[in-house]
Amino acid sequence: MKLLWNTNRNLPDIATNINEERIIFWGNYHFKNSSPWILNLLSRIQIEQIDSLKNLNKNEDIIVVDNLIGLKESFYFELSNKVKRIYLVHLGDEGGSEKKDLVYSLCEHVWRTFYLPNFRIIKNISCIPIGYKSSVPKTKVDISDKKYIWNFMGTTHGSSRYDLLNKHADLNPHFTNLTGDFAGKNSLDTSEYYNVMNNSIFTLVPHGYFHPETYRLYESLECGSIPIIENPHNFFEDFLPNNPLPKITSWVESSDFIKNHINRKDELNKLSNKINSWWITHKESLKKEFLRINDI
Amino acid sequence: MIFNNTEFNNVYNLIKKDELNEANKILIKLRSSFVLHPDYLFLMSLLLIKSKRTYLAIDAALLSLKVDNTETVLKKHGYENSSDELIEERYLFLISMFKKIKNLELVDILETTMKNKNPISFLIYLEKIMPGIRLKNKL
Repeated sequence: MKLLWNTNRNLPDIATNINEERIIFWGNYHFKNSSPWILNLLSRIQIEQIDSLKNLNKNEDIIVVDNLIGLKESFYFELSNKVKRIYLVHLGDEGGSEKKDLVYSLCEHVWRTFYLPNFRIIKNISCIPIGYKSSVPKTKVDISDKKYIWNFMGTTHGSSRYDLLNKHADLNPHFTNLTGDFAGKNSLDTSEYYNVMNNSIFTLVPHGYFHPETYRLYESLECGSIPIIENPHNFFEDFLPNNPLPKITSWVESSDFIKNHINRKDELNKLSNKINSWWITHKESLKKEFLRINDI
Repeated sequence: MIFNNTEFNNVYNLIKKDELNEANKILIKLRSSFVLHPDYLFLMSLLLIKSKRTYLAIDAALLSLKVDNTETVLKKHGYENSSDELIEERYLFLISMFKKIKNLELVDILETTMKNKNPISFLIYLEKIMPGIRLKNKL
């Protein structure tokens, strides 16, 4: 099946306003950082990547990976007249507020990030994890060789992240890198970032700006660092059923959890293995689901 | 009355009676006109805590306090300040939230702020410790 990565096609050369800045930033971000995750999910399907709409056949299906689709309605209209069926992988839309009804109606099936319960009842929508950015480490540092007890790298929005830092400050050694903006100028480069995560027993995973999911959850899973996730209104039981991840509603629970486990290496290893095996199984089931839907 | 707006009072009573879906519906309806209104933000925080979203509830209440003390935002949108009754309830709510997350430093600061009826030093401190509680792009 043909696959078109559309997040970074036809971007403006230079941004003339904040909106265009956002379009360019996220279009390129997803192309650079989301492709290993999405291509992994599609790995059971035979894919031919294309970069233009030329030579499409009216009897064939296409997978499009895209973001900010509300700005691209005419593209999808045109595409729907050129192919038999469109399968869309819709990235971004953290707040769930993007204009999408029209584009979704033109697609046979949509896989989208940033799960919300109301998407579950729509037959042609499946929700997928937001995934991890590219260049995950090939080898995982063993728990007993990790340098840090915990890490947090990212922006300090509001009370959750403030409380996270406050409640874990005395748990040493730890690593923090606080930034003003997502992927902002103080952010570590990808290899340093993954090196810290790979060297941390725990990665603290607070709520995102609008949505409970953040990339660091899946990045820590890829690195073998145990994520401790903020789980408001039991979001992660709903979205990732039967997951063995440590979940908290208040950061004091997390520091207590770490203090209780830090010297019990056997238990930590068991937990880490359990999480790793769950994550591998979960990814496999997502891949099968992609294949199943495309085979219908 | 704690609110100057009848619909806000209505939402407040619904939240107190745990009729959260109904309260949420009205808040969604009011969102476009009142998204930055200090009383609207306080109602959001009351609704959020009912659904156990503690940190989001704290953020909404802190933003409510901040807007209520930012003349430019109030003027731009034609909003009135919160009533004295609501100001007190907001302090008590925040104090109870900080007790809940066991942050006694902020409990102390807020108790002093409430007693002095002057949140300026607290708001300056807030900018340092929680830089995301900001009005950037909202003015």
